[in-house]
Order: sequence, then structure tokens, then C-alpha cells
Amino acid sequence: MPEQEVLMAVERLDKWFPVRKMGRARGYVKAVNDVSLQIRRGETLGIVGESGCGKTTLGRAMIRLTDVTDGRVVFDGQDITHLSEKELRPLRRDMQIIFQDPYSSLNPRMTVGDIISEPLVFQNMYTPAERIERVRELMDLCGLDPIYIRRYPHEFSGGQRQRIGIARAIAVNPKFVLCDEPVSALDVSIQSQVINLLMDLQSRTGIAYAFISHNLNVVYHVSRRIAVLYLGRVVELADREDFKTNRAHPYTKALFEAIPQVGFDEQQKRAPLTGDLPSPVDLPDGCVFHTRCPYTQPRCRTEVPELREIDRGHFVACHLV
Amino acid sequence: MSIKANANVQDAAYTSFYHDAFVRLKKDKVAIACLVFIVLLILVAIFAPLIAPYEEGYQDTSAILEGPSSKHWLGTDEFGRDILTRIIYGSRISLSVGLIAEAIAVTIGVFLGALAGYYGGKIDAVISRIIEVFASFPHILFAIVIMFVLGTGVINVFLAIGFVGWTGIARIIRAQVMQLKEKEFVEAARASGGSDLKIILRHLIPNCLSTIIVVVTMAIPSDIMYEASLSFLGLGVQPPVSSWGEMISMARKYLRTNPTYSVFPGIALVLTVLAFNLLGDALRDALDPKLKNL
Amino acid sequence: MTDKQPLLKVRNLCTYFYTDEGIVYALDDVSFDVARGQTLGIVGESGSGKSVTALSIMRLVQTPPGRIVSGTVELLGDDILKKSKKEMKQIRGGKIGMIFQEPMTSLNPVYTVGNQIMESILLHGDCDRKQARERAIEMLRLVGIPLPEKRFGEYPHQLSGGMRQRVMIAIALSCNPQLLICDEPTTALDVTIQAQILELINELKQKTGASVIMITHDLGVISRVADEVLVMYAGKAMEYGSARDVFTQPRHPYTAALLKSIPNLEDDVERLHVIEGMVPSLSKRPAGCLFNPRCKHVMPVCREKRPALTAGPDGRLVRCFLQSDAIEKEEAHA
Repeated sequence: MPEQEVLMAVERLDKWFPVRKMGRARGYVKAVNDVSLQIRRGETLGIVGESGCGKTTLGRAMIRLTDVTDGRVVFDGQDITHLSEKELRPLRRDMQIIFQDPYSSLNPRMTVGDIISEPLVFQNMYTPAERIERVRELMDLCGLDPIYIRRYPHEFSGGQRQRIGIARAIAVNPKFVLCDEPVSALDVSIQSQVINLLMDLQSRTGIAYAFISHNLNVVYHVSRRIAVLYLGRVVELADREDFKTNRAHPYTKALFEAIPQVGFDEQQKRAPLTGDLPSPVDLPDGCVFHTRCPYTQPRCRTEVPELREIDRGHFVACHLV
Repeated sequence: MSIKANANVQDAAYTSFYHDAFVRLKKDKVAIACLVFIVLLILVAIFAPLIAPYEEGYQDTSAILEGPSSKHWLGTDEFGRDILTRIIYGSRISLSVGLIAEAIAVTIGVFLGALAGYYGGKIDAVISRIIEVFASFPHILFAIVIMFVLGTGVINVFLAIGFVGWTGIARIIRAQVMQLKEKEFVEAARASGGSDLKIILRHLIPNCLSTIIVVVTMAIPSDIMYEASLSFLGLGVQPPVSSWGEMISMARKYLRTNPTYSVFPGIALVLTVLAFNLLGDALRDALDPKLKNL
Repeated sequence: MTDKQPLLKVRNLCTYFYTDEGIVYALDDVSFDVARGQTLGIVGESGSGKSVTALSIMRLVQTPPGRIVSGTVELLGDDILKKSKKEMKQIRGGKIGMIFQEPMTSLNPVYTVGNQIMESILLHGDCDRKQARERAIEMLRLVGIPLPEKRFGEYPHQLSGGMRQRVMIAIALSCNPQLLICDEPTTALDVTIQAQILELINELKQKTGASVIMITHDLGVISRVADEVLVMYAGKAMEYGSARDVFTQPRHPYTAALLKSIPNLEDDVERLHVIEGMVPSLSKRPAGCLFNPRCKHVMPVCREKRPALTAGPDGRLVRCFLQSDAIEKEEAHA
């Protein structure tokens, strides 16, 4: 992929959290392990996985809301892995985040106008009068009537609150927005409104998204490429079409078959994956998936499979592919 | 699209959080009575010279230690001073102790509590130990020690009570900030490049405001009591300045000859403390139903 | 819907909440049957009344502000709304088992898993502690928990989310209920675990012959497990029929729009279908059909009259003027 096209690159990223007992570190929760991926300008990379797969931590590490244990994060050609909070401040204009919970993500004591204009205030953009104009414009863009600029968040429904959160994120014209489960808390009929809004904004402004979700249907719909995470590792990374026709990793296959689809076809009757996720403190040796994989070989128990390119742009971490 | 999506907002009347709280508060008759009483008390304190039947310090030598009469509604003290007048002037001290001492306590408490809660780790450990040290002394004893060091006088009473009273609010603010800082709106502010100070001032403290209001209302009566106790012990306000505690202290000697001398300042003290306490209770219910167990 | 006597027969059930803002019509005139060994799916968005339905059947509606205003809930011809509190205690967890969304909060953290299953068995059956213990271990084995003897002595926090939900199912099934009500049983779980739990519920239904009411907002889940489906919107039933028919040929515009608005791996669309607007407030409901402000096919009559739930030739019930001109009778309890 040409260098200038890449907006966000994560290289061999590790993020471990120490587990403390009696004040001493007794091991680590290995939330993200050796993850490498790239997001191009204006594209959407979907990141899917089940709870505890490290997708949220990975997202937070990308925009440096958390420190990185090892590896590199390169944003727009600049290595931001070890920048301090202060050094990151000007870069925050270019990377933003949309949260899952439309309730806890808006300060209940601030008006909608203050919430949306906050990034503009922190980034010292525009004069106060221009900011109000900009907020009105953003509200209109996100499907909110600007006359509600002085209302408080609790007066809005979940879907409208999510629109407020989106308006806040795009206020500074970012190049990259991390969407962390942006529709999971919303009703089905509201989800599609918000997804369409996000996609419209992208086609209008060329924002790149990292779209994190456990909902495969949604990720599949919005993404150009998808990364599947399992226990902190990328097990498969490919264009969206490959996930429809050409799933390679056994976990990806199981995951896609497990989604209940509306309609009545027989392929849904496949046996579900057995067992639970192993604890991230005590990861299995070898391939992380071998404890649940139906095709486990002796080799899988000892050797960690590398993420290999099996086809153009199609990466899989499995010994059997 | 936007008009439709906002239809529900239009239905709801424009309300802010505090407006809602006030609507809830208005339903509580006792709370409103207390609020009216406190407002009246404040007016009395401000306009004391206009309301009091006699000038402060006026001595009616013809009436020493008398009971209530048409001339002196609540009787007189050992110098022939009108007790009603002294209670009215005394309300100035009691209220300003409540407000100023509590303002000192809140400033220290909110500042240290927010720091401890926001940063955690070592800063939290140090501040928490300081809180524990301060809180482990009996309050009144601690205030007495401070008064001994600083000497008597009104300003010193404020300082002593303020320094004693900040630990409770610091603990509550610390706990609340610890919860609040996990909220996504704080993370959103960080993701937009907000500095720690801005996050604390814009997001954390405003969200603690209702707690602060409740805690302050509940703490004011105990401050008034501390002042009364200090003055009763002779360490607080000094004569001829009148304060309710000082009056009760002086009246102690004349309990047999003129019992009403001690009763009336006592009633004023009890009513004021009760009013603040009941209002605090009601405010807690109105502002923050989650604080039920405070 | 079947000629045999159904296990559960709910007729004209109304549950209202009397709040400061007015009456909330959480459940308004809902009727349905659950046949033996069948699964009824109740699907709807938040505020559609689907959870209130479950709570009303179990008589667990918080009173006040809520109250079951009218209707009957007959379990094998016996109206359970007329039962005393004591009799209800025997029915709950006895004849009717229930599984909630959040397995962590429904389990008591200070008792062991085994203890909690035993408690339910001892409460409803007459057996001694030893037998109850054996039965509890058997139940744990039945719901597919490995090493049941070991798990018996563990506390809820030692189990994963999927395991906890299995324990909840074990508790719900421990007294051989005839009806199992599952309120969003898999919403808090991951998809691969969800698939396991749905499979388990289906399997246990076959084994025990119990009927199931599956309440969820996830149409995919419903279509995987349900025989019949009841689509609810703003406290009213909008469409009611066999799951296969409702999902393949929806007749109510709401059902149709809902199905179209979910992204789907099979039909890849550029833009998702959108249902404009939002769920109406249940205390200030629109005049006419409750769905009319969001409906693409709205007609003048929809804004004035409430359509009645009427049966089509195949027995499918739909509440829409596009299907039938029938107008709902004035609500008696407004």
C-alpha cells in the first residue's frame, strides 16, 4: 500500500495491563498482542471480536488515550507512540472518538451547544461567535434542529444523543474517527439512522473510520476492510467481500456462522463453537484459538501462527491455511 | 429529517437539571417552610439594626435580668440588655460562621478531594492520609487547639471551624470524582485535548455541585453548633459581641433567677440548626436520589 | 392459534403505569397463546412493552406505579392473575421459570451456584437436601456445564457470562416448569456464546417438552428459535403469526421496515433502510395508529382512527388499515 495513503498504522502493538495483588504485579492481562494494521485515508476499517478480545483497548491505543506497552503507532506519518499528553494535544484535532454509551458520553450538566463546541474550545479554533455558527451547522449536518442548542442532553433520546456525540467528534474536522460500538446501545430502528449518518459524513468529508463492534452485520455493512480479533490478536484481516465468500480462519468461520440471521436457511444449523474464551491473564500457548478450534493440530498447541498474506490483501493467522 | 427527529423534544418543556430539582423540592412542604425560615433569618441578620427594638449594647439599668415583658419581649440580661436585640445581632455571627467557615471547608475539601480522586496513586495516598489524620481528631477538640494557637476572635472562629470541617466533603468529592472520571464524557474531553485542570473544572466539579450543595447545607448546622460550643467554652466570640453560644454560656449563671435568658437563644439555635438539617435532607432527595444513604 | 388447549392463554392484558407525567400505557390490550412445546417470540424495541409482558405474566410488575388493569392470563385454563401472593410464589419458579438478561445481577454473589439451585428445588419440590443436591448437580450437567460437582461449590463471580447464564437456565428448569420465559437471555453475551445458549434452550425444550416465551429485540435470535412471533410496538401487538411467515412476508409496515433496516450479510445494500423518527412516548401517544408518524404508507385514516388487530385468511393477525378497515373499540380504561 503506498505510504502516503496510510493514515493510521499500528505496528506490532502490545498493550498489557499489570494484575496487582497485594500491591505487586502478579502477571499481566494481555489485552492486545502483536497487532499490526493500517487504515487508509477515507476508508473504514472494521474491527470485530467478542468481549475481551482487546478491540476497545486497541482503539484507545490507536488514538493514544492509553499508553502502549510495546510497538508503534504512526498517525499521518508521525510516530505518536511515545508523545506526552501535551505533545498530543494539537494532534487531537485530527483524531476523534465516538462512544458506545449515549448516556455517559455526554456531560449532563452542559448544554448541547457547549458539548459540541468543546473540542473547538480546547483546540482554540474560531472565535466564540463563529463557534456558535459552527455548532449550528454541525447540528444541522447531524440531523438535529439547531434551535435545541441550549437544551441539556437528558431531554434527548438515545439516538439523538448519539448524534450529538457524532457532531462533537466531527466538529474539529478530524481525519480519523474511532467509532467504539457507536450503535450497540441503540434500538434497531435507530441504528440504521445513525449508521447512514456516519456513512454520509464519510462520503462528504472523507473521514477515515476505525469501526469497532461486536455486531458483525453492522461491521460488514459499514467497512471496506475488516480485522477479526481474538484474545488480543488479529486472526484475519481482509476486504469485506472476502468475509462473505472466502473466510479462511476457523474462528472467523464460526463467528460468522454464529450470527443469527433473519430468514430461514439451513446453513444456520451448524454446530456452534464449544467452550469459553480462555482468560487473557493466562493465554494458551501456541495459537490462541486452539482450545476451541475444531481442527487443532499438535503444532497449533506450541507454535504461534504468523499473520500471513494468503491472497492479495487477505491476511490470516492460522497454520492450516 | 431533523424536524421529525426532534419532535419529542418539542413536547417536553424546556427544563434544566436545577429547575427539575426545584420542582421536586417545591412538593416538600417542610422543606419550603425551612427555606422560608432560613431566608427570613438571613434578612434579619442583614437588617438587624432596623429590626432590633434596641441598639446593640444599649443597657436598660432599670431592668436587670427580667423576664419577658411588653418593654423587653424576651426579657433582659445581667446588664439590662434586651435579649431579643442580642439574639437578632447574634444571628449575624451564627450565620456568618455557617457560611464563611463552610466556604473555607468547601474550598479546601473540594480542591483536595478532586485532586485525590482524579490523579489517584501517590497523590491520592498522601491526601487520603492527611484526611485521615485530620478526621481522627475529635472535631471540637481540634477546634479548641486551633483557637488556643490563634487566639480568640471572630475571624479565628471561622478559620478554626473551616479547618476542622473539610475532611468530610473531601472524602465525598474524592469518591465521586473517582466515579466520574471513568465516564466517557471525561474521556471525550481528553480526546479533544483538554488539560487536566480544564477537565476538573469543566466536567468533574460541576457534576459534584449537587453533592456539594447538599453536604454544605448539612454541614452548616454543625458549624453553627461548633461556634456555639466554642463560645460557650469561652474560646469563641468574646463579649460584648453577642453570639447565641456566648449568650447561653453567660445565661448559665442565672439559670435559677431568669431561666428564659438561656431558653430563648437556645430556641433560636435549635430552630436554625433544624431548618438547615431538614432543608439539607430535602435537597438531597431533590437533587440526587442516589445519595439516600449520605 | 391452535385447536388444542394452549398452555398459556393471554387475553386483553393491559398494564399501565400511573406516573407524575400521566398514565403510561406500557401494555395495551395484548392477547396471545403459547402452545405446548412451542416457542413464542416477542420482539420489539425498547418501550414496546415486551418486558412488561413477561413481568405481567409473572405478576412481578412493580405496584405502584404499575398495575395490571385488566385481562386474563390462563395457565392451563387457570387464571393466574386471580392467584394469591402465596400461590404465585409456587407458580414462579415452579410451573413458570424465568431467565433474565443480566445473569450477574440475577445471581446472588454471596451464595454458591449449587446452593442457589438447591434453594429453588427445596422451595418448590418436596425432597430432602441430599436429593436436592443430586438434582442440582444433574441440572448443571444437563445445561452443559463441565465438571458439575466442582462448579457446584463455586461462586457466581468465578464463572464466565455464558456459564452464569447456563446456571440461570439450570435454576429456571430445576422444577420442571411447563413454561420458560426468557427475557433477552443472550443480549449480554457474545455471539458464539449466544449461539450455544440458544442451542441449549432449543435442546432442553425438546427434552423437557416445556414451552418457551423468548423476548428479545434481536430479530435474528427470534428467527432462529421461535415458532410463532408477536411483533410489539408502543405497548400494542402489531403483527402476530408464524415466525417463518412473518419474517419472509411481513404484512405490517413496521415489521417490514424493521426487517429492512437491519444490515444483513445476504443482501448487500449500499444504504440501510431507515425508519424515520422515534418510538412515541407511551404517556403521550399519537392519535390514530401508533405507528403513523413513522409509517411510509400512512393514509389520512391512520391519523384519526386506531386500527384493530384483525386476522387474515391464513390466521395471521395484523394491526393495519392496509390489511383491514376494522377500527379498534374505544379503550375502556383510558
